[in-house]
Amino acid sequence: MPRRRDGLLLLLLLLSAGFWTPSAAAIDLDRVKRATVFIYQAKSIGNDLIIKCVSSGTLISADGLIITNAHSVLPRRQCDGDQLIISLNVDLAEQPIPKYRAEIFGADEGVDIAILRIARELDGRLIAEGELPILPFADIGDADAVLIDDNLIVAGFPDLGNRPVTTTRGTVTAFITEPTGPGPSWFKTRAEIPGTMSGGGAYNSRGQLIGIPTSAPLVGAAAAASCRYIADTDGDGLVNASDSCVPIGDFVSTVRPISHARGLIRGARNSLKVDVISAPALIPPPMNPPRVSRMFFAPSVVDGAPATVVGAMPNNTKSLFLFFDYDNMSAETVYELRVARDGIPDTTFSLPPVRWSGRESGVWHIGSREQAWANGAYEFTLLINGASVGSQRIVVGGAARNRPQFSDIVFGTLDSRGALTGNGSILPLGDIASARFLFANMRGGRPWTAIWYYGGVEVARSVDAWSDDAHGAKVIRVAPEGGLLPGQYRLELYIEGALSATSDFIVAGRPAGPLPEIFANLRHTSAESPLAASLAPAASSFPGGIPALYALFDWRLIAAGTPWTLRWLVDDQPFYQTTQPWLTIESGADFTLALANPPDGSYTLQLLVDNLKVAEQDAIVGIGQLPIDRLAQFEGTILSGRVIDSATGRGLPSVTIVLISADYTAEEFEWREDQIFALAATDRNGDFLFARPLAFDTYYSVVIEADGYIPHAADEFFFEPDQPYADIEIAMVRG
Amino acid sequence: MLPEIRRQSDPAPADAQSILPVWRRLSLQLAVLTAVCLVIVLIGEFLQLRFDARIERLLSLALAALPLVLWLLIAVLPEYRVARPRRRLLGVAAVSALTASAIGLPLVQDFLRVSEWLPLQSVIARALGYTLSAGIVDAGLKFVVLRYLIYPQGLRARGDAIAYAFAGAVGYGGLVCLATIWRQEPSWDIAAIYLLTNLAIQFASSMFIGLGIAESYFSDAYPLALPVNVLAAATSAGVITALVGGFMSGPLSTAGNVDRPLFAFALLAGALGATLGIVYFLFSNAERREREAYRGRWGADGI
Amino acid sequence: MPNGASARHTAAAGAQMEFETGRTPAVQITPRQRWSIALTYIMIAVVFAFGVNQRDSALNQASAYSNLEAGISAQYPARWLLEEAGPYIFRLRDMANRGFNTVIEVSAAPVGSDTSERNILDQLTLRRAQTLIDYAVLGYDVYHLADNTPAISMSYSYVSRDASPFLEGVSSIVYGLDILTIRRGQGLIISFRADADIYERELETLRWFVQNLVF
Repeated sequence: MPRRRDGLLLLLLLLSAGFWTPSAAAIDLDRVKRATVFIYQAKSIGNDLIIKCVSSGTLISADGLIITNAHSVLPRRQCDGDQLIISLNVDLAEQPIPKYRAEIFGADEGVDIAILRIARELDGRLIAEGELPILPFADIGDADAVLIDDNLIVAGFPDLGNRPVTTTRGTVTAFITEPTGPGPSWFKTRAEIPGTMSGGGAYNSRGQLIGIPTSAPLVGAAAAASCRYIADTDGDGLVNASDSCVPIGDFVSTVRPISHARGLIRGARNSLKVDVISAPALIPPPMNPPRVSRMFFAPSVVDGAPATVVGAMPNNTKSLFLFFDYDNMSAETVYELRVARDGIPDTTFSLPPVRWSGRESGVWHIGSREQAWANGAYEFTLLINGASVGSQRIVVGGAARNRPQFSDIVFGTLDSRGALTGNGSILPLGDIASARFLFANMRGGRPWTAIWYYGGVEVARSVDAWSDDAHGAKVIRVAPEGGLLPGQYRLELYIEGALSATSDFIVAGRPAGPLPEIFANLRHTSAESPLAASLAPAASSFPGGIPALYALFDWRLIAAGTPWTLRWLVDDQPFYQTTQPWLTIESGADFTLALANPPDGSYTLQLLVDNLKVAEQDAIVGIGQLPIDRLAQFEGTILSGRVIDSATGRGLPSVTIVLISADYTAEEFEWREDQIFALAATDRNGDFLFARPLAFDTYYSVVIEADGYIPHAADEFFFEPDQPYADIEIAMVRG
Repeated sequence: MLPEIRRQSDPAPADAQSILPVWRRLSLQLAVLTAVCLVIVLIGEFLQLRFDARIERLLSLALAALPLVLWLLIAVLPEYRVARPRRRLLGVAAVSALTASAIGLPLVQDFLRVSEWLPLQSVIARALGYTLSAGIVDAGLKFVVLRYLIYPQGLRARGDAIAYAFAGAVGYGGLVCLATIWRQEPSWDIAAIYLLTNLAIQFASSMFIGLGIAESYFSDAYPLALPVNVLAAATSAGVITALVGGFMSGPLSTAGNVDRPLFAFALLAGALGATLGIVYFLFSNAERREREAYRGRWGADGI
Repeated sequence: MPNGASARHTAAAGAQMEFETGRTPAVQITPRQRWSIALTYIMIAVVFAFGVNQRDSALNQASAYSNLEAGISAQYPARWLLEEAGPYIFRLRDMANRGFNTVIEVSAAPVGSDTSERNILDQLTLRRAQTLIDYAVLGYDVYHLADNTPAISMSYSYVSRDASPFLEGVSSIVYGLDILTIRRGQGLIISFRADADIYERELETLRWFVQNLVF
């Protein structure tokens, strides 16, 4: 009995201790708000700046990097401004105040994320290096760790700059998956997010930035309802419909995970700019209207391809994807998926209007995994620029049926023993391409068809009656006349005239064993100019401070239009990635890339085709490790306050407050810069703010000297982790 | 205490009705001013009573003028009711004020630029610095005024030196206080501290000058007595100036800091009391020595 | 006759006469009193001189700086902030000065065989015009260094504004002076900037600094 009673007491004690322990997950909303900025994209016409687009944004570094939506800042048809004005929250209870101008450091138009860098004062003057004050910024969180039903706090500006920054709470209601990776392409939420909060920040319960609320304002007639006329842009003395309007979009329900911007952020933080020197001129945007076709469903996705094709799904379906072919798409295309279940719109799986994040043409899929689909008759309708372009139905429910099916197609070449070899989707030039697929529930004599396409044109077709077992794997092959040419191929498998499986593969490069050799002679050099780069000796190690690091490679037999990916990593983290159709000649040498002023680090260049890595090369610059950013983390106490003249009680302007680093006391301070942690000067009201946070549990010292006043020198300036802000008043006494 | 003071320090009984006694009136002025300042500081500190900025400014300026008014009422007006008044009191105060305005303030603020280098020094360095700069300028100028206006023609009794020195303090200090309050526009409770600071500095300084003049003139003291007293005047001014800032300025911590008018008040009241006590002790000692010497030479009745 | 007694009686008599006539009669003072007064004047003068000296030593209190790599040594005002992590060899700032913190900055400029002093100053002008508010060159002159060698100087003005975007910054009109000399194939630029209100006074600090600069 006593033992049981002691246990009970211990349990009660533990439970009561839990009650008194402060919640570690309390979010610092003030900090989130301070990191949020309002962005005007404006066009200079004569002496006027006409506002073209607005969006919210988030500061992600102390030196003025801002993440936001690309569609509202890149100069395009709808937002054709040439200036980006950044407004900061000087007072969280007030509207933002324009303070700076920014320039676009990098952008992924399809993913709809842009990184801006504050570069000029509001009046247009350049901000000299190191002169930008330390700005509050948001910590980047791990978007991959987000789970369904996790809390989400979205920060941004609820209208056209008339109201202060605001936050709204919600939960993650669904993940939407598209070919863009890594992880989910979108988080869905039911939080009420006005259109002008698009580009702002979505935070987890620890106050870390995990995504960008993203919507794309529609263009044309569909946009009229969400466009605001705020200025007389045509100079007729009236603000009316003849003026150009500022699109604000509808409510936002999608959040682009921050993981999609990881490379952009890393590149921007380290000022890494890649110049693809050998890239040919840009292709003009397609003039034909966007088009989708061949819509079908698949229960899962394997390496970007549908595992199989289904027309119905059983009870307890947790994974479903809509596949379709697309053409003539561009980053300015706004697409939308509306899902209805039994005729009622299903907001969980619908995707509101967003920018197109794929290429100009190809195969796309959209769907979700690990989420239950309620039973019912679903209708998926695709809209492009507000107009419906196709729909497809599928029924979910009922018992699983053992219907015949093909699935899991992989491509390769057969070795001497008849085994399929290769990487599954890229084949070298040759005579024969082979494909292996799985089959199930097949019955002898059932008609099936295999159709092979090259560049969208049928090159081979076999129609046969099934003669194999009911379950197993089968290899088929194609030997086009004249052999396999470089380009994109497709295989479609039908059972009794219904599409059952399909997959694409690429033929490129020359055979080098089972794998193709597409890229060769990948090397790094350092030179004064791109021309000299190809003549410079290749090396794997370079001294720090080189003006540019060049990467060069030769290529073999790549057809125009073949999608290839260029990925550059530093210290094993990507900072640059682009996927483009191959646009230059089929074979050549010295394709050149340049990385200007690379900081010390370990660099890896990876070349991918169809998301498969086909070449890689390392290079070390300087000590082989990125410099440590002292301001990478924004954790600590923000110290602010007011210095007053004790006689008058009024604020003292232009008084400098010196915060001495933890290694020195005030007495040891000898007025050397290396002893200083941070400096702050009072403004005309006597207010000061240390933008750099003071580390928790660290002893600092403070020295204040102002001519005419008794100085202050104090040690043991110490703040605990539960004190993110400290506001103090300092009275100066005349001496 | 006051009757005791009068008995020891005032002129001989024969002169009592013809020359106005000095110590009691002087003490009364100091007491009234200190009390007024204490009340204002307490109101400011505990009731946080604040007025409109213009009213506070007027109150502060009125406070700056209070020593002058009190001095006129308590020290100057009664002079005209005695047979042998100190006729140059107003002249000494006026010329001291003009000297402060024309020479003292420009010299201290523009030439010596004390606000640029002294506040940032240590307390000892500040005390020394203020002594060698503002202290000696104040003391020197007040001495020069007294030297040319009353030394020796205005001196009939030792008390005259004290009364005229105090007139110099009222004039010189009044102007400095007025200028400070006019320029810095302090709140009225801090203006009270300014007033008391000025009073303490100028009173201490002037008392030592008065003591020195009395010693020099009435005791025909050794020639170093006067310069030593003037140096003591400068030093007392320097020390008080150096200390009051430190007392007023509270220590800085993560909670910020506040000024401490009550600490400053305590220091200044103590300085006033100490100066009064020291100077009165030295004064009465000297007077007693002089009486004894006079009796020894001329007999108990002075004949 | 003892001076005290005589004085007391004389004073009493004088006061009586003054009361009657309204005029002050001439009163004699003893030689000892004369000495006393004279010594007081001397003491005041001496102490005042000490005060002036202490002011000068406090205002001119110096710290030493040397940079072997750049071959520069200098004396600079104590309690000015020394900075070396920037696009300069070193920079000094008077942090106690309210308003624009007076700056003395020493930097090096690469010089080619065709580079003239004016080329370097013009480059400075072009660079500053992009970042400083209302930057204007006021003129060029000759500045004599410690060894009396002439150097070219350029004076300019601009408006400085406290940078924090979250505060209501104070703007100051700043005057500046660049002193440029080319030695051993390298240009050395001494840049001096101060609030316009105290510029003339602060120039003394610059002159003192240049006098003590060895390079």
